Order: sequence, then C-alpha cells, then structure tokens
Amino acid sequence: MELTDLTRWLFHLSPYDILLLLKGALTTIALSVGAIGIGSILGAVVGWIRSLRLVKRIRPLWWLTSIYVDTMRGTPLLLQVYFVYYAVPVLTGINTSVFFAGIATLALFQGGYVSEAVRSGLEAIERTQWWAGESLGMSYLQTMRYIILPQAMRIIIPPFIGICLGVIKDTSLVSTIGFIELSFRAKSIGARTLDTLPPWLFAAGLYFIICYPISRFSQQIEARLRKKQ
Amino acid sequence: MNYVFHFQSIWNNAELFLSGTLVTLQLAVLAMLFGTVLGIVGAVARNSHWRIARGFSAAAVEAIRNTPLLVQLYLWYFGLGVLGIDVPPYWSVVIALGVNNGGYLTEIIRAGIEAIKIQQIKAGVSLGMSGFQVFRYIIIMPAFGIVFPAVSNQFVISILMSALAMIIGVKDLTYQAVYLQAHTFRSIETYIVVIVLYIILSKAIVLFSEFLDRRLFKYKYV
Repeated sequence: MELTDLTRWLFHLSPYDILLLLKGALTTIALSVGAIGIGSILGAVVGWIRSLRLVKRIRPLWWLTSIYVDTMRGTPLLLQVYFVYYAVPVLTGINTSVFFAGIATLALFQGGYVSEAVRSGLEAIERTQWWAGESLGMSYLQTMRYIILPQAMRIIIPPFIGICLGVIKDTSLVSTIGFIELSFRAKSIGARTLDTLPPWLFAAGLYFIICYPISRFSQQIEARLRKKQ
Repeated sequence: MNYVFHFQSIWNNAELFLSGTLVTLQLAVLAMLFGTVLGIVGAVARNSHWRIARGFSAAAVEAIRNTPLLVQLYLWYFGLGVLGIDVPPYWSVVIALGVNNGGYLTEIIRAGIEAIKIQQIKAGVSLGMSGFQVFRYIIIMPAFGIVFPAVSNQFVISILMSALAMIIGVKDLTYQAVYLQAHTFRSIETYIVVIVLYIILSKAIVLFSEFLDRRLFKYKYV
C-alpha cells in the first residue's frame, strides 16, 4: 500500500487537504508566536506597573489596570474576539482586518494573564531585597536585573509557560471570525467533503504535536525548579 | 469618537440575557459535576496497580490537555453522530466540556491525593474503617481540601469555556450577545452588558467557592 493510500484509508483525506491542514498549522504557529510575543511584553509592563507601591496607593490608576486585567481574565476569549472584531470598529470607526483583530485579541488576552503572573512573582520578593540592592549602591535597574528578577523568574516561569500553552490552543477560537488557520482549514475541508471527522482528527493530531513538547518542557522546568528549592 | 449609547434595546431584550446566563451557568455546573466524577476516576486510575488503567488515564489526560477545546467539541459533536449516537448539541457541549474539565481535574486531584501521607491511611485502617470509608474520609475529602483553590479556578474556567457552546448553536450568553448585536445593531452596548454579566458570574463563583471552602473544610481555618 502506498503512503497516499494509507493516509486516505486512515483519514479519508486527500494529500491536497493534508497540505492545507499543514499550512494551517504553520499559520497557527506564526499566530501563536506573534500573539505570545506581543502579549508577553504587554503583560510584563502591566504586571510591573501593578506591582509598584505607588500605583496601589493611587486608586484610580489601580482601578484602570484592574479593569483591563479583570476583563481579560473574567470573560470568555470568544466574546473578546467578537468584541474586538465587531464592536470596536463601531466605536472607533476604524475597520479592523481579521488578521489584526485576531492577533490583537490574543495578545491582549495573553497580556492580562501574564500581568498577574508577573505581578505575583514580583510581589513575592521581599522588600528587604530591594533595600539590600539600594545599600550596595545599585541603581533601580541594577537591583531589578541582578537581585529581583533572578528570584522572581523562578516564580513567574511555570505559570507563564502554562499561559502560553493555553493561548496556543485558544488560537483556534479566532477561526470563528474567519482567520484562516488550522481550525478554519479543518472546518472548511469538513464542509467541502461532507466528511467532518477526519479533518478534525488530523487537526487534533497537529495541535497535539505542537503542544505536547511544550507541556513536557514545562513539566521538566517545574521539576528542576522544585529540586532547587 | 462621538458614539451615542442606547441601552433601550438591551433593556427590551432583558429576558434573552437572563436565559443566556442561566444556560451558561447550567452548562458550567453540569460540566463541572461530570468533570469532577471523571477527575476522581482518572486520579484513582492514575495511581492504580493496573498498568492499563494507568496508561489509559495518562494518555487521556495528555490528549485532553494538549488539544483545543474547540477541536474536542467538534470531535464529540460529529464523532458521536458518526458512531450512530444522536446527541443534541446541548449535551454534546456538556460531554465535551465535562471531559475537558475531567482531564484538568485529574491532574489537580492527583496532586491532592499524592499529598495525603500513607500514615493517614494506616491510621484510618487501624480505626477499623472500611476501604470505602478510608477512601472517602481520608483520601478524597482531604485531597479536595488541599487543592480546593485549583478546583474553584477550574470552575471559573468552565464558565468561560462554556462560551464555545454557541459555535454549535446552544443558546448560551455569548450566543444571545451575537444574536442581539446582529438584530439591534447595538453591538457595543450588547457586549458591554454581556462582559459585565460574565465578570459578575465568575466573581460570584469565586465568592461561592470561598464560602464552600469555609463550610466544607473548617479545619483549615482554625
């Protein structure tokens, strides 16, 4: 039996459909990388701002950041996708493309979750560590770089990888507004061939191949960090 | 940005929001109950003597945790149909979401069970407890007490994930939002109300689980 016959028997998928699905998987990876990259920077900045003592004292500033974080963490991503794609253009008059809306929503989502991880990591470091840096004559950035971050990273990294994993899986939701990635491909192939199960099974396999190494990696890192303590 | 807000059309359709909220809550609670049962079974299987049970549980957990819920939902929805089992969309959402919760809860409950010391179980046996009593009072309930924050967090995730139900046509809160914004053209107002409702729901669940935590596991707070 040839390979193409085997795949057809296994998945009822033509090689062309498989190619489409693989292409979709590449789009999913690119979308995840883009969203995670932008979202992590956003989350790090928001988390850092929220960990500042000054911000907690000025209540309006704290509420403003809380509105962002709580909205991202308290509403379904699907709703956020629809909001950015359908409601934001009405409000601002700017017509957003599917591409822009998809990446922006996922990045905002990632940012909301990462900011809480960063904040809890920074707040877990005692104030005496800051004083130690100051008494050694270090500047703010030096204290941050050499004293606080090495300790805080240990707390931030495990949840951070978990959040990234979640966002990779949640990229499937932007297919609902027509972002052409893996889930969209699977759905359209299913609609065209009227055989819905094979493309979805294949897509599930591809998602698994993308996510499984990352989840193993996060388990290893967690084990290593636990050993260090 | 000179947008004029009109909340009148939202107010006229208040009952749609109410029914949507109820459906969302129903889905999340049913999926959570189903998931907890699966989670306990999975966690026990993970620690069992049979290699097949261990392997199956581990494989299922990895498969569930490493694929998107959207894909799982479609697979359950179409897969059960292909197998000749006709399930209405509502129940396929409950199954998909429940199995998904089960995968995550398996890991959570396993962590709780592994935190129970073997001496505790021996103490239970020496008090003359039966196997089931030991399992119930010494393994499962204290394990839940240890991991309760993670379980309640999963409940909130269950609420948020139930929004996927609208994709296969279950009339939950997100479905009503999309329906209303298409019919009234008041998308901003609709989404603001629904976002507020979701935030209230998830905050309510956090408060409710804190209350439950204090009721069920009083010993943690003495």
